[in-house]
Amino acid sequence: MGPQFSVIFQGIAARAAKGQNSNPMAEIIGQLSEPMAERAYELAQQASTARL
Amino acid sequence: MTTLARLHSIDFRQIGLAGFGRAGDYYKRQMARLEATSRQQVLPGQVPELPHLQELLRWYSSHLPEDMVTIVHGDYKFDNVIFHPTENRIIGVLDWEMSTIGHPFTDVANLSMPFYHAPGFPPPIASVVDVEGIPTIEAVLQLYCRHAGRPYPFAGWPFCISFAFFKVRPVVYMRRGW
Repeated sequence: MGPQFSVIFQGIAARAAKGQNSNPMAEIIGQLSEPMAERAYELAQQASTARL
Repeated sequence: MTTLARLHSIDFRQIGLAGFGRAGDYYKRQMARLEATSRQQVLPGQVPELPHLQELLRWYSSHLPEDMVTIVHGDYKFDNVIFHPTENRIIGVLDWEMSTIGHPFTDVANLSMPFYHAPGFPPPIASVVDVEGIPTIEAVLQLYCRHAGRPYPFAGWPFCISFAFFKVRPVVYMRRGW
């Protein structure tokens, strides 16, 4: 797990300890939504012969 | 996948769902809506513009899949199905709040995302590629196409799977009320 993900999970765990997030799964996906947008770009690039 | 194929094989007009959503151009309408939503969600210093937004929209516009129209669950994934306690079959499908009439491959792509996660994505959204007992994505898609009566491979698949990742942030933020 890279440092970016470690930071995300530390933040989620800290808020969970304070009772500030009621849905950890939604929280995790929310935190990873930017990397998922990057993944959308990578997948489109892989499928394309030309640079986007 | 077989349950999803059965859902997509239902004639929605025949069961009284003709007015459940607009028929046709599902992905075009999604692109327009998600572009507008993504721009509205930008908050200086808090929420940046969606990465590669313009480039992706250009690419999507020129790689739109063949249009199809079926019932769409909208959030079809393992968390939203109930398996029989002792038999290898699904006995319930939950969470229909995003269901509509649309392109069936949006559901197929949603369910297939774990096969395409980038290396390093942590559980619970880690890649399932090379996990013992999990079939290949090709086998999964072939299973769906066989049961849905659709040809395999599907030419528009790269669009569908990329778009499934693209829409995560706008949809997550919409659900948070941003």
